[in-house]
Amino acid sequence: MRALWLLPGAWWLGLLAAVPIAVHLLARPRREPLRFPSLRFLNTAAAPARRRWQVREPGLLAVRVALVLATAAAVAAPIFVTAGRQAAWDARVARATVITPAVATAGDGASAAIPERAGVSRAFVTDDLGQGLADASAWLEAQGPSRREIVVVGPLSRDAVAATAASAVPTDIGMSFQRVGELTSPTQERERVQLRAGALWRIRESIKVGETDTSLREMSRAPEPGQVVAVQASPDTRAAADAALRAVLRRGVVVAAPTGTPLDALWSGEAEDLAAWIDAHTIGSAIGGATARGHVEPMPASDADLQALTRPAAPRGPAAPVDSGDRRAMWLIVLGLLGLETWLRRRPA
Amino acid sequence: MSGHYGADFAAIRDLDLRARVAVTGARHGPHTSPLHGFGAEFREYRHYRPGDDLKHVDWKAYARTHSLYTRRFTETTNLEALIVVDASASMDFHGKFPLARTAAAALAMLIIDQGDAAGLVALGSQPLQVPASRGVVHMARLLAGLTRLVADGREPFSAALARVGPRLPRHGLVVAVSDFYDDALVVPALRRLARAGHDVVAVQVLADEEVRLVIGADAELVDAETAQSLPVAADAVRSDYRARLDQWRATLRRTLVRDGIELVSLTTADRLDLVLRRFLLARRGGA
Repeated sequence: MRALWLLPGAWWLGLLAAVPIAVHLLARPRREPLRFPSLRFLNTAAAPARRRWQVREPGLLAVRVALVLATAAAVAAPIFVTAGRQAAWDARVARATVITPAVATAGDGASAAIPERAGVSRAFVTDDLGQGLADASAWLEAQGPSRREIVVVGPLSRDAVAATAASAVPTDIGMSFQRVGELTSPTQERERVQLRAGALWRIRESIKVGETDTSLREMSRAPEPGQVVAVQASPDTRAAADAALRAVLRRGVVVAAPTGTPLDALWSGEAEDLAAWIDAHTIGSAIGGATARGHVEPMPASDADLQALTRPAAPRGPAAPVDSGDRRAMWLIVLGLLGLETWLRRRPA
Repeated sequence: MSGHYGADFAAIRDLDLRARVAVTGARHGPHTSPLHGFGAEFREYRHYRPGDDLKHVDWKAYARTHSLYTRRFTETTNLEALIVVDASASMDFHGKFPLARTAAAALAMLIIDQGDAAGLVALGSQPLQVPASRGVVHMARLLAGLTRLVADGREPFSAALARVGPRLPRHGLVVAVSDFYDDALVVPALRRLARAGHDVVAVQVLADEEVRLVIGADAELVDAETAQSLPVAADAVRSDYRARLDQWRATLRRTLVRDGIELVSLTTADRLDLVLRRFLLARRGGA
């Protein structure tokens, strides 16, 4: 059995336990004078042998500390999670479904893609997945004892994965993904980079293949659309170099304009990476007045990324004072301790 | 009235309290007198002198020797005892004084029961002075006085002992019941009584709590008579206290024995009847 606390901040009251500890440690108890007939046999020099730091009446102190802690616990509203309670809570599921607008406007087909399960549920339609996750988390926090989960429904781009990973969804809230709809075309220009003057430009990228650097691409002028990029590599590393080049090209770098015109580089990665790519690859003379424009092209999140973010809903206790019985029991314990403390205080020495 | 003390008295009633020294009483009794007379115990022959009672002439000796001899006997007399109880404030501690009263009462009852005279002196806030006498009525009076006695006296015990001399003119028995903490004054007073020819018995009554220093771990002790206050951590001073107390008791015993005073030690942890029986049997053997 474990305990949950509806008002865990009340445990700060437990610091008040330092008060009785200090009192018992520092207070000099008023001693009843005891008439004693043979005082002359006492060595008066030994009288100051009383310890200065001495816990007096340790039993009473223990009860008082327990009283303070029990009071703090009662205010903190404990809920003792028994096996029966946990089973009842586990039987309920609170689910928040975060839907991207593309899915929301997809009609019945999109709605049918959302899994139907028993329990409390609510849908959050938003074009800002991060905000949607935050709203869903807040709503789930306010629900009663249940297993909680968030279902993200949409075309699930890499952006969605990144927003999900960056969101502060509590770890005990389950996450699952439903891929519905298709990613839209790039609509927003994310980056514009002005290249420096020059009639020719050269792209060079070195990828370490084997023990030597292999030049994958190097050209003295801007390539034509559809131009095959030459790969200069030694014969024994040619295959690896080709594979590396294909991997680079798969990143979405497409030269879309001839020499002398602005170059549009369709970039599917992050905008920051595009800038770095341009800095790294436009070395030396570049096309005078040419402009390179990068576009962020939504890419679908891989199944592996989604799987990494998927987690089951953890059992969770109540998030609201659903049961005051434990609190009443705690107050009864407080009263019992109070009675014990009174008895200990008033009992004859 | 004797009901308070009846149990302890019954435990020693089969014994008697013999004077250890020769005493002089006004009446005939079982105790040895320093005077020669015609008591029950044969002492010597003496040539007949005119005026001797003819019934004490040994006619059988006359038939054998044709000389008149008078038989002389050791005179025996009764005992006059005075029990002096310390009613100072130091006796009011954990049952000390009730034990002292009971011991005094048991001895007084024993003395009166064996036909001797017993008196009582105690200087509490209400001084109690009962002259030595005999009889059941006197015993009841004495026990009633003991029962009313409270240990709240301001005068030292030696002052009570000083009143013994005039009240016990003959050689008698003095039983001093006290804790003898005022030994600087009490011992000389007892010594004077012993040197005056009295049979002096000192009954030292102590509480077991004061012998073992059974007090709270952190106590504020106030001297019962001087009102001096002293905070004491009992655990820290207990061994030293007990060593000092034991040494003092041993010294007191040696001093009293040297002066011919018998000391009976009694604590509230002891059985009074056993202590008294041991005391009485020892005196019977030494009588």
